[in-house]
Amino acid sequence: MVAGVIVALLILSGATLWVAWPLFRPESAREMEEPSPLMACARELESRREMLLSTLRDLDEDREANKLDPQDHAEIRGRLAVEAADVLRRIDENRAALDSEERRRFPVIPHPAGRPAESADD
Amino acid sequence: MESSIQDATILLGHWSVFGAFVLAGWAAIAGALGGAARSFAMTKSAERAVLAATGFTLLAAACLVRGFLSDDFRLDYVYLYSSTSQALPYKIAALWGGQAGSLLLWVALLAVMASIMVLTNRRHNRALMPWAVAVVATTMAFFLLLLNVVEPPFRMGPMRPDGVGLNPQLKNYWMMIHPPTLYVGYVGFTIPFAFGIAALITRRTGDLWFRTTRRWTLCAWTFLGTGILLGSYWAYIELGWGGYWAWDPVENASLMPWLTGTAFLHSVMIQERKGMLKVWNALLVILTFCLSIFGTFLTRSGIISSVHSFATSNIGPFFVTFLFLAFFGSLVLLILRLGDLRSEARLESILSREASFLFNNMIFVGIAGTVLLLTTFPILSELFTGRKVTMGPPIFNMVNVPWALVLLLLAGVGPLVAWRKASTVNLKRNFAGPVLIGTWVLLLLLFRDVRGYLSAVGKTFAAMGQLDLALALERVQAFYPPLTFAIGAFVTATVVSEFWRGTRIRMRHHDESGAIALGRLVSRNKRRYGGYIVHLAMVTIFFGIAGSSAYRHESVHSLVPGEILEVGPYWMRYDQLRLVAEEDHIGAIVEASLFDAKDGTVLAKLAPEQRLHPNLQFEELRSAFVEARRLGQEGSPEYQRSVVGLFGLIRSLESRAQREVKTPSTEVAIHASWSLMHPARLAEDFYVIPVGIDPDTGQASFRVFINPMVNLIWFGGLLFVAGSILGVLPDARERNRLAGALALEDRAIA
Repeated sequence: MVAGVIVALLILSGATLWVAWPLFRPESAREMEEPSPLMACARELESRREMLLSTLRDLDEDREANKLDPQDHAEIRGRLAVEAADVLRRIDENRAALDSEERRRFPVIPHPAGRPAESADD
Repeated sequence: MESSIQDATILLGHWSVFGAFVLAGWAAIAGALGGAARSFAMTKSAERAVLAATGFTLLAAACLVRGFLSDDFRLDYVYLYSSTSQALPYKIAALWGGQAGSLLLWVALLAVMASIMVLTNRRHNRALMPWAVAVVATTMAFFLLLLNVVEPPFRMGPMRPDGVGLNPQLKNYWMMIHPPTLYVGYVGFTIPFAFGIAALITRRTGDLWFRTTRRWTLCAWTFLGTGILLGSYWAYIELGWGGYWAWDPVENASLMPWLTGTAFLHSVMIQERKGMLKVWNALLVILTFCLSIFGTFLTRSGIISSVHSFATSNIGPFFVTFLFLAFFGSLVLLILRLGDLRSEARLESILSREASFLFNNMIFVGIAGTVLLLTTFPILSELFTGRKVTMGPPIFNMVNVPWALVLLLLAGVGPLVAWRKASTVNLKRNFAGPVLIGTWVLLLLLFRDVRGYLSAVGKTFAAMGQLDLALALERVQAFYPPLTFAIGAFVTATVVSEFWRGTRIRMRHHDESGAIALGRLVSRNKRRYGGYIVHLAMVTIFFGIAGSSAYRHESVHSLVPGEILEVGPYWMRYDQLRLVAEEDHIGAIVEASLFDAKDGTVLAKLAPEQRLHPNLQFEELRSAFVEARRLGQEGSPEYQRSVVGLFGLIRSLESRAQREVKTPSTEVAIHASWSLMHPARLAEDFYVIPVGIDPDTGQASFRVFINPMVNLIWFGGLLFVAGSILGVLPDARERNRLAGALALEDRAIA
């Protein structure tokens, strides 16, 4: 009985310590950042691009399988292609803006040995 | 020494349940705090708490299993569900034989899944994870609360020499497979729900949450579907009423989340492709989770009487509170986030795959809602009228079968319709062949009994003329079997044509042989073609249901040894009666031979059995039973007479004690026909069950069923599992999409 109590207590305290440990580590104060509006926009655009690509693939498969008329296929494909081009252009613009934002937030640090510098987040 | 180890095990088990509860509670709080304060430390602590709680839960389960294996009858739970004579596999399966153990298994499975979720998302989904952990841990904490407060598995009583033992109907090898399979299904839906709620809270309502949980959903859905089929098979071979589905509350409880889960699996494809139905998908995932909890509640609380429910308990108010909070809390959150869930596109045409999915979703949810209403009708009627009114299978069939047939039809329509927009010319061209096949099958079946069907048409119109809708729906049921076969043939033709078209396109584009093209087509689109195999499985299951319901034969006969019975194309000769005293029962086994009535060839030897499980707490009965078993082991000629004596002793004890001193059960004898030499009998069962046996005279009465095509249901089940596994297997395209979405999310959070 006593052995049981000791084993149970040991296991319980070990688990408590393990679970609580992250709270007392120096980096515990770190917080997750809310993504910047640019980053959120990038995520949305990527998701849109994925959706459009998979829709275009479905469209071509449906045409090949004779489930879609050639005219309908051409009309929808044209519309989607214009949208996809627009999304790709916005992704490029967003990427450029993101890069400049990251360069601003994490400036280049000259390496003491004079080697080519790296950005802080690399 | 052994006694002190047993003491330590009980203590360890008891404290493990408590420890797991505390840790799960902390994980829920720390997860929510970590999510709200965006704290890495809190989230990490919450994740560790989930892992630790898993360890404690598994430890508790192991301690309880040890209690069973060491016959520690001081534990109430072991005393109630095990006995010294219980075979080892049933001692282990007894873990989920009662209330506390079932809840412990539920939470152990959830804990293992939660740990897998934590470990596979250590570096991903950092924004969703704190909240997902909080939701899963809250569910764990709820079940652990029940185990600590209402149904403690380690409750102790005085030392007893032997236990009551598992319910005889549960002593079946399916007991070891069916409940855990079903529970994995129920529990598995918690993970997609947790991610769905996390997405709503964090306003990350894009595609990441359902892409992350796609395989979780598919796995849970597969296990739940498999569990339902296993349960039907178990009921078929064990309960002895010749059927497999009776719209029993416990059966319905598992069907409802499966239906809404199926709707979700279809509708999520529309969100992936068009960014539509975001609110609907979130609602479906909430409904599926709540129906899973509701299913567990129905099964475990015994609130509605059921032949499958082996428990009654006072856990009801706890479940109702949890369900209320989970459902309405999620609903409020969903309403608050409606602004974030706006559709990115509109339905372009009613002739599109999206539209067919939308219809199937409405029907799936409609059937689930109807089943829910009819299942809970006894509670509702008692609440509002003071009278308990139970709905029987006819009303379930009347309402649900027509919709199920429409669903089956849509399973064939969907694949042949293009996404976004299809023209009538395409539809005509693609549907001509399958429609022709379906119509041909329909006409063939109708012409087999023209008079019967014409009379059914007349009766249906007469009922409609009297404005009696219920009667009209009943009359029209005569057409369901031919319609099922016709629609099934149509769906099979559409699915086969899909495989054929895909293969031909590959052969043309890649210059591949037919077999290679087919193999690559399937392996590169596992989700789609796995889905088609599941559609074929559904057709096969529907064929089995239609055949075994419409053309079933049932009769009752009384025979003495040596007598021959003719039923349909079979003869059954009652050879002899054998009486046995086995581990925990006495049995009267009817040995019979089954012949083909056409040529007299022997088809099988059958041995249906009637068993009595004596209550060995009665000393007189116990000593007589032990003596009979000893005589049996020695091969004594007195053995048969001693077993006959046991039957007599049970009768006299019951009349003296004015209570049952035995638990009866029956063992069915089934001969399945798989021979291609008799195509009319293919997949048919000759099913015989004893209903009364006189051990003194040997006279026995039987209930005999001929169930045509019933084995197609189980064969369809295997196809269902195969198709689902194909859909769950890793898919390069899916993996790349998820990896891309996760990489961007990780960069955003870093």
